[in-house]
Amino acid sequence: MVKYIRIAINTLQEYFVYRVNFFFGRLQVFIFFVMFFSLWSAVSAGRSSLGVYSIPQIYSYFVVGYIIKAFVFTTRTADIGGDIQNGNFSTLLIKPISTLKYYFSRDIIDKLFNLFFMFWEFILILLLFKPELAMPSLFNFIAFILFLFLSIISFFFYSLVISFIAFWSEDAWSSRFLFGVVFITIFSGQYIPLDFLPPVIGKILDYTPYPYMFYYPLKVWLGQIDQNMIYLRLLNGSLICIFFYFLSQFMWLKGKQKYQSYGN
Amino acid sequence: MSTIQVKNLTRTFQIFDKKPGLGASIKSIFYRPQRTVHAVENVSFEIKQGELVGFIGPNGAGKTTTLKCLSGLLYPSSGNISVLGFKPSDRKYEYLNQIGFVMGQKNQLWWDIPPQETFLLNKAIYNISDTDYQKRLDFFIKTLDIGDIISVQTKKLSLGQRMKCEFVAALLHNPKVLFLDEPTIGLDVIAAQKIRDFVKEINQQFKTTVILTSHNMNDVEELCKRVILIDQGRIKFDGLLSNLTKKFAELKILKFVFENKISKTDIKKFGEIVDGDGYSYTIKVSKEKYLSVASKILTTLPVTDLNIEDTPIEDVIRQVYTDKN
Repeated sequence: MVKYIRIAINTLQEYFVYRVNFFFGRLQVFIFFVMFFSLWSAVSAGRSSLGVYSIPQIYSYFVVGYIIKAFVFTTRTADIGGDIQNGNFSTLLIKPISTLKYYFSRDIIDKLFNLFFMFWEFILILLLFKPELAMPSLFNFIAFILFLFLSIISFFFYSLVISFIAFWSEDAWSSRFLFGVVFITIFSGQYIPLDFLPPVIGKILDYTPYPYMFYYPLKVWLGQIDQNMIYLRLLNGSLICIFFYFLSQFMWLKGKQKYQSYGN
Repeated sequence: MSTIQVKNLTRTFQIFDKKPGLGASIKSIFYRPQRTVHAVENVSFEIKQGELVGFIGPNGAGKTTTLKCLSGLLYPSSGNISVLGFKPSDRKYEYLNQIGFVMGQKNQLWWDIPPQETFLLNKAIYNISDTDYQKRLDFFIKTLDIGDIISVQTKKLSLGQRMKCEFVAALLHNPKVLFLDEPTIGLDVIAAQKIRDFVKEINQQFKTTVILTSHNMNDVEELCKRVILIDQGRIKFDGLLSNLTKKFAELKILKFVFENKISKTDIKKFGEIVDGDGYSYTIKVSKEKYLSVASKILTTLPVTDLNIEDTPIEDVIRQVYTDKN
C-alpha cells in the first residue's frame, strides 16, 4: 500500500511543477461556466422547460455533468498506449508493482486534485451567477454517489482496455481518440441529453457502457428515474464494470506476452 | 549452481519492410507482408554469482533482446531461462525484487521532479528500511559525487548526471543481478570512467552479478574478464576476454623507437606499417612471425625502445564480424 501512496504523492508533485498549466487549467473551468451561463440564460429566456427538462434541470445537467466529466473521464491510463508503443512501459514492468494499481493511484490523485479545486470554483460560480439548480433527494443523492463510483471504476477499466490495444496494434492513438474521446463524448450524453435523440438510439445505447458513465448518474440526480429503475441501472452498470474488469485482465495477460519493448 | 542459466533461447519478431515513398505508404495500408526475424537464436550460456560478463556484438546482434528476456520484459519464443531460480517471464515480485536494470536510453527517473523523489518511491516499492536506505544513498552519493544534484529536477540534469542517478535508482534495493544496457552511451570520458569505477565497486563489494552490453570497448576491457560475443542472434564466442584475442587476433602490434631516422623502405620489409615518422614506427606482424621479426629489427637497426602489444579488442571484434561476412 505504501508504494501506491508514494506513487500518488509523486504524481501530485508533478502537477505542481507546471504552474502556468495549473493556472490555465483552472481558468478554463471558470471560462466554461461563464460561457455556459451566458449562453443558456439567452436560450432559456421566456421558457420554463426544454423537452423533459425544466430550466433548473438543464443547468444542473451541464453543471453537475461538468463535475462528473472532470471526476470520471480524467485518466492517466491514456498514457499507456504511447508507453507501450515507445517502449517506456519497460521501466514499469521491471518493478515489483501492479500496473493496474500504479495507474489507479495516479488516477485517484488526479481526480482528488480536480475535485479539491473544483469545489472552490463551484462555490465561486454559485455566488457569482446564483443559478437555480435542481437538487436531488437524499435517496437519489446516495444513488448518484454510487453511480459516480461505478462510473469511475468502469471508465478506468474501459480506458485500460483501449490502451491495451497498443499491445497488438501500432495505431494506439486512433483507437484512443475514437473509443476514448468521440464515443465517450457523444454516446454518454455529454453534448446533449440522450433523451433528445430518437428513442431507438437510446435503446441501442442501453446495451453499451456509455450512458452508465454520465447520462444515468445525471438522470438520478435530476430525479427522472424511478427507484426500481435505479436498482436496475445500478445492476447493469455493475455488470458492465465487471465485464470491463475481466476484459482488461484478459488483455493484460495476453498483451504482456506480445509486448515488444521497443527501443534500447 | 549458476545464477543465470539460458538454454536454447530463441526470440523472434514479426516485422514488415516498407518500400520508400508515399505510394508504398499508401499500399502498406492495405497490404503488409510480414516476415519473421530471429533476434536471438538458440542461445545458451550460464553465469555464476558475482560474475561480471560483457555481452558484445554489433548493432542488432541480439544483445538487448537477450537482456530483455533475462529481465522478464520479453517472453522467449522458445527455450528456457532461469535467473536466481525464477522464470523471468513470470515476473514474480520475489524475482523483480532481486534484479536491477539500467537502460542507457530509457529513464526510470520521474522526469519533472528531482531524482530523490524516484529514490523515495523505489524505497517504498522495494520495501527498503530507513537505515538501509540512508546507508546506501550515502554510499552512492559519495561514490558518484551526486550530493548536489539529487534535488534538481531530472530534466534539468546533464546526461552524465542523469545516468548516475539512474544507477542509484536501479541499485538502491541492492539487487543480486544487475542488467546494464549501454550504460555509458553518450557520456564523456570522465563520466564514463566514473560509471565504470562504480560498477566495479558494487560488483566487488556486494558480489552483484552483472551483465553488461556496450559498444564502448573501454567498458568491456576494464570491467569484464569474460565476454559473450553475439552476432546475428547467435553466440560466436563465450570465454575469457584474453582468450578472445588469442583465438581471433592474427596479428601483433610492434612499436619501435630508433636512435636515427630510418626510411620507410627499411621497415616495410618487416611488416605492414600502421604509423611512423622516421624515428618511431608501429607495424603489424603475424602472430607466427612477430618474435623473429622483432629479433631481426633489434639486430639490424639502432633500436632504443621496443613494445609488443596484442591487437586492440575493437580490431579483433571487427575481424570476427568481417570473417563472418
